[in-house]
Amino acid sequence: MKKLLLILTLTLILAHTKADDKPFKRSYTNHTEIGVLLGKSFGGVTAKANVSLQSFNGIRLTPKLAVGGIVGLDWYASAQVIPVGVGVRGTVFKAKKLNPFYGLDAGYGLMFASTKQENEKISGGLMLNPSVGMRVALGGGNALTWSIGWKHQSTYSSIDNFGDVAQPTWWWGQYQTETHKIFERLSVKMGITF
Amino acid sequence: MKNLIILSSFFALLGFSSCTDRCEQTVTYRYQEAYYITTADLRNSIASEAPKALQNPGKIYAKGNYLFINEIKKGIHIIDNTNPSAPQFVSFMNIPGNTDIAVRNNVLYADSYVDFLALDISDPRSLKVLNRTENAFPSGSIDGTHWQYDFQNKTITDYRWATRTSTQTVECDGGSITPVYYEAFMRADGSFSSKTGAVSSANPSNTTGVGGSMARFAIQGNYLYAVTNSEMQLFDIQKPETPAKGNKLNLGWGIETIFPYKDKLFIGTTTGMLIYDNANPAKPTQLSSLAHVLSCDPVVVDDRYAYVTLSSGVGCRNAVNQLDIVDIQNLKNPFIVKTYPMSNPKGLGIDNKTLFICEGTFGLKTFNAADVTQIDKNLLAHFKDINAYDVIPLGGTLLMIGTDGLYQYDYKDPKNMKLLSVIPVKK
Repeated sequence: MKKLLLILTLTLILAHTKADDKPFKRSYTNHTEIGVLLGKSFGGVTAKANVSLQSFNGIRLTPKLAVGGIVGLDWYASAQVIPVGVGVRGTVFKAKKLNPFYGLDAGYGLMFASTKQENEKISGGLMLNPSVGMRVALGGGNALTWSIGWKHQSTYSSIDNFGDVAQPTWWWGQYQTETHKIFERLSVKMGITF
Repeated sequence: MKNLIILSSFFALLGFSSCTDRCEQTVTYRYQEAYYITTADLRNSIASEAPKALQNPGKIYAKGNYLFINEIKKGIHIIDNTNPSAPQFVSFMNIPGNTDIAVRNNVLYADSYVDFLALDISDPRSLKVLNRTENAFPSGSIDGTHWQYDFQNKTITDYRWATRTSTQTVECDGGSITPVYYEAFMRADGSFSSKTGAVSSANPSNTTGVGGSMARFAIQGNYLYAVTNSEMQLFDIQKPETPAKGNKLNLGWGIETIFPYKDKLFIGTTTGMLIYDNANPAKPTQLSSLAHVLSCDPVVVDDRYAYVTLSSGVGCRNAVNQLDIVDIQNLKNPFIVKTYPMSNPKGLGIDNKTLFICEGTFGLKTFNAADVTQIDKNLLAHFKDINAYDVIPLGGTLLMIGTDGLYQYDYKDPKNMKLLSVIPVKK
């Protein structure tokens, strides 16, 4: 499933990175978005909607392709993840009022904004966010965007409650847990790019 | 353009259908695994074997030049301690279910789940069973596990600590995640009562050994007193080789330790200390009780005071960790003189106003208890980095047992205790 989406995204990128006629001046570009991550938890029983913010800062390599770094903030109910990584932004046309675009972000989720329980160690994991959307030019190289995509985020947690083996506790015993959470969400975002 | 729109929609649909969080949790936990022993197998397994290393030492007992160390539920190590700087392993007595030891003359008394054994130790290299009292104990607790005897099937159900790992799907986002399944039902453990090296005997030609502060067996006069969780079983050992099962007293629940002193019996329970008058050894009668918080408490006694450590741990919920000094001048009315906070005190011992306190993983502490109201200001030594469970002060040599092994110290000068030897536990 994941592989299919990745292949599709890469195909789109490759299809549009052709060499250009006249020399193109590389410039800085920014794409900042706010949106929601929609999904279901616990085998589809509970619906979830969480806020997501992200900023892409990169270099326009060709009129249709930019690469750069991303940093974001995803506010899930049980974890507050700060993904950092790399991103790609590409458009279908060189310049048009309505220009479809695609994005592919990949990175690692930092967990320092999340709260740990007692005896708990938390760490982040892989973040993937391919998306497609529309770019509405505002003039002067600025534009509004909206997009939908898929966000994948892994987080890890471990609790060591074994304590002193020679002195077990009363009722709740001794245990050690390793938890692996994978958030799979539909991302719906709005943003600006310049 | 059209292709792109179709592609994008496809993308979106695919994305949406898989937008379910997946969360998995793997839990490793300790639990009690049952195992069964028939009384037939139990009785066939008693044997004298070659010496082995300490693995899970329990209570200790000293008699003459010999040390007896219980290997919890497995048997007894016999050690020649003629030279405390170089103790020698002599043999190992295989006794399934053994948790307690007491010695009179050349007879060693040991429990073996339901049975009460009298063993001949005149040749420590090879012990022989002299006498067996069958079905003397119906149940028992040690180390947080509790065993029970089924009369009909003639089988003992016992438990051992084991770990299990299991994985399951859990709620992903929001709601607390509780571990899959964990159980650790702890029972009132065989917490040990402290005994000071009181060598008491009605018959001067009888010699009795000395137990540590964690013993459930006590010999006084012509009787051996064995406490279980709720009862005290008496054994008449006038003829040491042939003990006779005597009276059984119901003491209530949560009995842990027994400490005989002169003609009195001090019994430690999870809810307090009971004092019994033992003027008629066949029929001890209760004099008084001193209640305390639900804890585990070994007791040692000298002429004026009872020293009680209260601790948290297995079977000791709601517990505090402290040392209580109880004035027992009037046995019908004992009262607490002073309480000292401690780390996690377990067994203790007293010899001529030098007080030894085992603090579990916090080590061994020695105090000058000449003034019972200033004990905390008179710490003589603190041996950290060792696990201290129980002690026997033997008039100059201190025997200390813990999960690390058996340590022997010279305490002739209590301010300058010297480590004589260590028998380590094989890890």
